[in-house]
Amino acid sequence: MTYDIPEFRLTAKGDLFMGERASHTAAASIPDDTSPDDTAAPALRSFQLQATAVQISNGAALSRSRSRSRSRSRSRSRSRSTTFVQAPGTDTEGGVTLGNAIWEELRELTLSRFPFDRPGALPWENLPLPLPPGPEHTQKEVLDLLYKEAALASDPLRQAEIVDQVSSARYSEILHPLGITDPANAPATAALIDTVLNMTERVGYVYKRKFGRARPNQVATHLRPFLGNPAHESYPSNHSFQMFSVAEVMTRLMPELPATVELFHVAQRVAENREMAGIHYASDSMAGRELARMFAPYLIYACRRLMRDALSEWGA
Amino acid sequence: MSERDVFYLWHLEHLGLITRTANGWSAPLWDDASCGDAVTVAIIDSGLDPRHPNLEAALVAPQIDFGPQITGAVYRSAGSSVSALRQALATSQGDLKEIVQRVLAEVRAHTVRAGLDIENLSLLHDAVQAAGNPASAAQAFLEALSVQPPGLSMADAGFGDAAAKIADLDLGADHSATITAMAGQMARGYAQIDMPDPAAFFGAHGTACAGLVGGRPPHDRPHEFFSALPYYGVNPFCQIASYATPYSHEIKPVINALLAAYFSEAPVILMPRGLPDVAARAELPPSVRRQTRIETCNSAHPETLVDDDQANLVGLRRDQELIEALLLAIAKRRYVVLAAGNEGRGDMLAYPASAAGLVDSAIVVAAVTRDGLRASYSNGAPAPATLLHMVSDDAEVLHRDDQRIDAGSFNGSDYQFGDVDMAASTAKYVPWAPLSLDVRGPYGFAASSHRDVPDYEDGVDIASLYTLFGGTSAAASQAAGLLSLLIQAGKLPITPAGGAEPVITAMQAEGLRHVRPLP
Repeated sequence: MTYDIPEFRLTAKGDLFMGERASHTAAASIPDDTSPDDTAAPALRSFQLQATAVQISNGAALSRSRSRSRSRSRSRSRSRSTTFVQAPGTDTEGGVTLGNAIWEELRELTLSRFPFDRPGALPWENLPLPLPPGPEHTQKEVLDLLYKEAALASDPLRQAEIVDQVSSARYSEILHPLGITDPANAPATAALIDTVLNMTERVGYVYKRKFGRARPNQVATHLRPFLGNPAHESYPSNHSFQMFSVAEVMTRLMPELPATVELFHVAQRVAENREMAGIHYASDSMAGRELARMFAPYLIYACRRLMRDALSEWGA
Repeated sequence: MSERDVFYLWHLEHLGLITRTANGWSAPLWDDASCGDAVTVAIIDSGLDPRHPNLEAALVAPQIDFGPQITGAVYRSAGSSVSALRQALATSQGDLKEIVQRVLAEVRAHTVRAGLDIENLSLLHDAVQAAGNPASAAQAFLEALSVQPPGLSMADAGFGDAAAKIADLDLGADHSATITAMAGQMARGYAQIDMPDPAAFFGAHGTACAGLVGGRPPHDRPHEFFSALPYYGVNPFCQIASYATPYSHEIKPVINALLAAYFSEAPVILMPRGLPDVAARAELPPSVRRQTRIETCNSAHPETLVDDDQANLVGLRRDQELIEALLLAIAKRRYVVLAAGNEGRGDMLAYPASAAGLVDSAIVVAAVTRDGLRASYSNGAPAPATLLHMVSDDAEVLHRDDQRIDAGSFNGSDYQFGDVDMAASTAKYVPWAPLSLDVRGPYGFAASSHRDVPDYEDGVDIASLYTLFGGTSAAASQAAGLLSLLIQAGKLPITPAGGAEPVITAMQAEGLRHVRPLP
């Protein structure tokens, strides 16, 4: 049998065109369907196709280094970078996170679309996070925390690390494994991380409220936490949830990049530091990780355009 | 064929699979395979775009994602109408018959592509239409939809006789008990997520791998330049089952995916991705800035962790032992295809291909360039004779052990490097990469100007559907397609004889080219 395979040709750049035995010359025009108010328009325009050849990008599967090109998405990211150091509602001085009023109101606004079916309206608020452990297990976790409290007392380096991580909007731990020393060099990636940290912070509050687990030293008053208790419930750990969410998003974006796997280790380190500080149980850290896993499909869908912009900074 | 002008499926021609004739192309193995029963290739990777026009006809079941749930989850594409049905039932408002009809249409549109059976759902739909008061029938319809996506029963997925299949693996008692428990959890059914599949946006790696395995021309308009291309994978007559797995510190999700692939009885299991080597990481010199429960264990005061906490060195070590045992056992019963890895080390393999004994039972695939050299990034075992070599792309490299310079790059055109022989180095570098598939629309390796995932039928978006792709992932994917092709054509037994050698023999018997690179 003879297969009717056309004589398309391929250049080293990935341009595909009709080969020598093709019977006609192809032509096509690509309409500009991006509107001026489209926030992603600059990035989209740069993707526009040439008229007579079908351009196919060089696969990025082998890329291990981040492209230095930062032409895309610059204007948007610049405005975002003003919120880079500190998330809204976060006080870096005392480590106290204030209630974020606007989230509650935005939620009400969204729910107004579902006047009859509120419980099922926001599926990501009802993810099947396992219940916190019971009092007997918690008692054992408190004992672990006492050992951690003792270890931290003689570890000034770790104390400094914990203080440095009080605001979850600090990303240096995330950027370093990715090889980014200055977020201005990777504005879309920084904007993505910033957005994920912001979104998940608020989603985490929903689950904290749902489970209402007391902080360790509210259960065991003999604990002497290194940090003061934030004004939220204990389970799940939001630091854990936020950092693992960044890892989930980045690993979906670039699964073949070893640095994205390292982000899971970084997230675990940040989570355990909150235990060292005496304000979270080990099971809170675990719950944050599990919530990040389950929330990822929703987060990825919501952030997909930001993710695409970020990917454009990681060239072949 | 000039160097600037290469046939778009050059890698198939290079392999010797397709041959130019006076009036087209011939492929005797495809002729044989098209008559055989379709062989399924199970792909354990990042997930793929299930609606890719060159791929959707190959998929035999919904893609299962072990990311959001370690026991697996499926995404339901009939989301909006199902929500409407749920709301109509909860509020007793709306025309149930009309909504149920809409749901069925959406489910049908989704499942027909995958050739799934929705007979049961059709009957329930008819019952709704016939009922005087359709509420209870509509409730039954909704429940049928919620138990599993149509056509995906766990028994059909091979979990029905899981116990016998686990016994057949002949693992030790401990491992068998663990596997039985894990399979039992999965057999309760995959979680349902009413969201678009993230792999449709970010499954570029898996899509490219699947394309090389079993891409095929779309059903409609197969030969128009500005429709989807008549793209061909190595075996355009195979079936593909996709298991998306997370790339993290965890191993359990991959064990579950491997089990699901094994139970499905797919004769070929392709795992182009690597795995975290927990044991190797635990042996790193300790660092006060890095350590966590993932890589250390305080033996003086072992911590109390909940059972399912996977940031736990002890548990991760157990998972690692388990997956190594499982890979070894399954590789004796299925063709397990692993990538050699992209560290550029001629003397080693990436994990898990490096696990003891695997290279002799599984098919470990390294990459060679179009000119027959080991690709600069490709790993190779201490004994390259144990590996299967498939053609892939090359990468620029400039160090004392190897120099390959792209004549078209700055390095090639502007610079000199001491006594490096520039002519030899540029001649050594091969610019060609295999062409494969990419996720649709503005996502993936190749992006279009569309704002979101478009309908490919508008004909202007085809540039986003294809990409050049490389690495040992591309090599391993071609190998998996080839194995399925040889089995389907009756040239290779369905049960592996172990290692790469019997496969190379079968390839050579069919006139296919296997290039073993020079040391």
